[in-house]
Amino acid sequence: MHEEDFTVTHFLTHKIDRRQMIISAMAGAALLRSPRTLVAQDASPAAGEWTFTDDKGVTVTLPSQPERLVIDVNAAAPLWDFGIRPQALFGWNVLADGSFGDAGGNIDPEGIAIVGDVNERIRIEDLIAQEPDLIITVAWDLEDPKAYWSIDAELVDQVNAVAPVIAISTTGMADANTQRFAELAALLGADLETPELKSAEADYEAAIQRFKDAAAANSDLTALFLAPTPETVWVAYGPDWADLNMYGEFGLTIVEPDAEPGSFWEQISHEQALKYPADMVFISTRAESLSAEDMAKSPTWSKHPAVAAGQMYPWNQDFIQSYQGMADALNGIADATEAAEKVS
Amino acid sequence: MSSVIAPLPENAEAPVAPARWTRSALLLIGLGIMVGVMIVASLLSLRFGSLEISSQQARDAVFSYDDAVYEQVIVRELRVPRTLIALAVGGSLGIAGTVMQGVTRNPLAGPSILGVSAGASFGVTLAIYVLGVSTPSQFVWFAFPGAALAAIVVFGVASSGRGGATPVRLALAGVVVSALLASWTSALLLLSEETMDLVRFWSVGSVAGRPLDVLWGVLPLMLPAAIACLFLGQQLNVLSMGEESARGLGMNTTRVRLVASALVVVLTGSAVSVAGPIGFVGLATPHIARSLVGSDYRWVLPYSFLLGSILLVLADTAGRVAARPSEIQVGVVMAFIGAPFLIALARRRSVAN
Amino acid sequence: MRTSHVSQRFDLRVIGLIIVAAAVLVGLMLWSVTLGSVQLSLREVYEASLGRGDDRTLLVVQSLRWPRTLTAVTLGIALACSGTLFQGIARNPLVSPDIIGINAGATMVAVTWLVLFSTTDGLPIATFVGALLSAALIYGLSWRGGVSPNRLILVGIGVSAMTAAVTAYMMVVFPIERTRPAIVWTMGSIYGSNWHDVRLATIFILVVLPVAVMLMHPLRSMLLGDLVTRSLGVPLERTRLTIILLGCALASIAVAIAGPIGFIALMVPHMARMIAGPASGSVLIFTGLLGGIVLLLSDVLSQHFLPVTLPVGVVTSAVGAPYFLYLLYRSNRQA
Repeated sequence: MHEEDFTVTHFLTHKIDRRQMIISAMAGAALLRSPRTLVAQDASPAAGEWTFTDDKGVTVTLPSQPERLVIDVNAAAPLWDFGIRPQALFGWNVLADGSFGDAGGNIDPEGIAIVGDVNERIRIEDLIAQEPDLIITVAWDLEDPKAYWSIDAELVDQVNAVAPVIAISTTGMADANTQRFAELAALLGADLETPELKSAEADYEAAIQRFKDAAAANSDLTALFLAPTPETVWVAYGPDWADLNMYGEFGLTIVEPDAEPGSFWEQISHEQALKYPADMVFISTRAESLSAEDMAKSPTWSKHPAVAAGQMYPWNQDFIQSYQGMADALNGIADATEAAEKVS
Repeated sequence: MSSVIAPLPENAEAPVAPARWTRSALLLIGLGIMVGVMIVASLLSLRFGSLEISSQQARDAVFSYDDAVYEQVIVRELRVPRTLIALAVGGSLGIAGTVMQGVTRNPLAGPSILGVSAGASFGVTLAIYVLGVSTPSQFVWFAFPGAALAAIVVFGVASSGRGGATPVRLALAGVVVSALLASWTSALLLLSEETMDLVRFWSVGSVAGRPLDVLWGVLPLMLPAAIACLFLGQQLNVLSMGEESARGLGMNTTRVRLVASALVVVLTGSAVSVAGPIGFVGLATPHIARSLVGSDYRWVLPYSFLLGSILLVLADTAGRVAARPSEIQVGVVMAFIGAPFLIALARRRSVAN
Repeated sequence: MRTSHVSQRFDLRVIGLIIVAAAVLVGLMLWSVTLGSVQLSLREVYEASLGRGDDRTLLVVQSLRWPRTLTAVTLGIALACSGTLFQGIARNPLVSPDIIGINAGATMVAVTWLVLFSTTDGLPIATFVGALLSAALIYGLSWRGGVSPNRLILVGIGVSAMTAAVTAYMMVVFPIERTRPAIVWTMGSIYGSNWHDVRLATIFILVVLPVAVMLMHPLRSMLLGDLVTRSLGVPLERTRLTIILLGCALASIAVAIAGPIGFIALMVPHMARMIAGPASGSVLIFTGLLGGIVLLLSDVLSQHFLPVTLPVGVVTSAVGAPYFLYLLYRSNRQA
């Protein structure tokens, strides 16, 4: 057993005393070695306790509702829309200049501490200095217990020793994930019944209905999701992406590249532009991607039916799983689907 | 301090008068054959790529072009530009490497010895980060000053003090300046996600996705420099006899070195700015050329230009065919061809001892 | 280069320097554990180091700050000593494990590991094996009835270029989310170091350094040339192989834990030579301590005194390269 494990355990046991965290299965030294086992013990919550089971199946029980939240940007953006204000942010999408790109959504960074960025996803001492009650991130992989977005696998135990970590899925279905964010936000004290949120929810439900109608009315249309760069082109593999997966479920036909599940992309050369014909091309909005004008000027892509017909639309790769975020995305694609012609 | 690098074996065989003409004729015929090989390599580059097409389509693309046929568009719009770029870049790097090895009398000198590649990379990274430049045709104007500046610093440090820029000093200064610039480049990459994604492709060295404008932009510099290099043969021959002998023959060695190095900077700077840092072409081609035609630089120079072109075009074609439906960047392919070559070279007694 | 009889004497001055360097290093270490975003007094840090204090302080001091500080120190020692060994064996002051190709081989393995498996679990072991394999490959390819130092360097450059190409290829065949940790790793960072790393590095140093110190004498005779060495009765190839192995072991452990941190192995032996004179057993110890000081200072700088936190390797290169250029410039002026 390593020293760091010892310290972690030591710290954790004290922390339990300090916060009067009640865990039914305290017996057994083995449990104490792994913070995961510890927090995952599903005890029937006593009065006043706060408990949540995340998308990885980890149950966290705290003596009271957590106040000080440290959140990864990809989880903070939807939670922000639901009214949750983080103590500090961290993660991949904190760019070196302190901005969050498209991933940040409506977050106002004023007065929020940063405890990790794209180079060092989470800095543990900075995290400790924020005295968090709960750490929230997202997960692209629900199976691997150490696979958290923005928390490196070898740091998971250390981070868990500071405060429990929960994760909401960014795979599977974006609509289900959005509801999970809503549930979590409500548990964290957000008021989901405000007029703004009520109207956002109504917009979101309308957007879903509109999307389904548009997809059904244009069921012959096919869509291709791309992140093209001057050198190479990445073709998105729909089943890996919660947003694309949901669009598929709602009736949009997404062209599926030749990729392994879990790889997210197939990489093709520009010569292969016609490998996947489609009626609509959705282009990643990340800065390194080619623009629609670049694609229209490209000698190869200009031969692609969708590009030739000008049927190119933006795609935010860092989709935000809130009512507002998903309504925007759904309406964007519904607009495209209604406007596009069958060209392939 | 002993050097990493031993001087080139000196011009061993003095040309014998009666054999001279036949030898020249043979070398001239050889040059013609090399041009032929270059044309064949270029045709292969048009014919084969990431997408499989038929010979007929490739032929039609050249002789009866129809821009409605996708396969022909690929040949015309993608393969022709990258083939021309590979020819120009390969030739420039080949001839620059030969001049560099002649000037430094160092068989392992390549253009990168002057820190030129690292300088160009830094210039591009800085431009992407500070100015938000994002297309390869704009990279050129930042790669070039970066390359030139790096070379000037290397020369400045190496030629300080008496004795001027000796091969060893040049090598040392080049290595260190490259390392310094590489670390600055890294720091900039860390500061910006977008920069990193753009640069990681650029810095591998590739001729894909470069519009021909990029080439036309640098050709006014590249071409005169390459032609000027062809006329350096006699001077390099004298230099290869050694510093003392060259001075004894009345040559201003410092000036020759300076002019030759300036030409190398122009050639490499423009090559790097078009294709990114591609290694080994400048290192390997002079050796292949020497093994074909002997040590007379008047012949080695044109041969190394052609060989550099051929090498790069073939490497690029191989990289496109090997990883369908994607492709392997030519910089990676060249390293795989070039590194064993360098190792074999290093194992030769004459070089390492 | 100084004449050998000057450096032959058992130098009290060097021992004095070792004591000074050790004191400076300990002072720096104590200072560095007081730095960080969690405000702690010197007394709290001291108490926590001895196991007393509240849980938060203990976690910060015992699980985060001490491992990081000790990692920087041990890797600094390993890198500097490795550089001295390689510079001695190659009889060339410009040689270091980075140049000879060991780092590139290790980097290739590490980057492949990171992009394929997206985890650093098992990374040090894989990297270490990669470093040893590339060292063996370089040594094997350089063998022609013996290994000449120059050939070793040239083959090393070749192997390093080829492995670097594989690394570059790995960087472009996967999307940025997968390659970014690998890119950061290749810049040399001790982000997320732990006690396991410290223990590993310490064991290596404790095993390798005493042997290296004993071999410094034959190494010095090698500086006079192969013929002289043979005539002095030193078993040339065996000594050379042993020194290369030791140098590789030290370089490998450093790259395995922190990625390729540039310029420490190249620069520190020079600084040590300037301060303490030509390489000897005691100077090697001084070089190690100096390496610890330089890397720890660089890490403290990169962590706490820059507007953005950068991997320590970026700092060592940014500081080391100009220093080296200055050295070169000065030696040229003097020549």
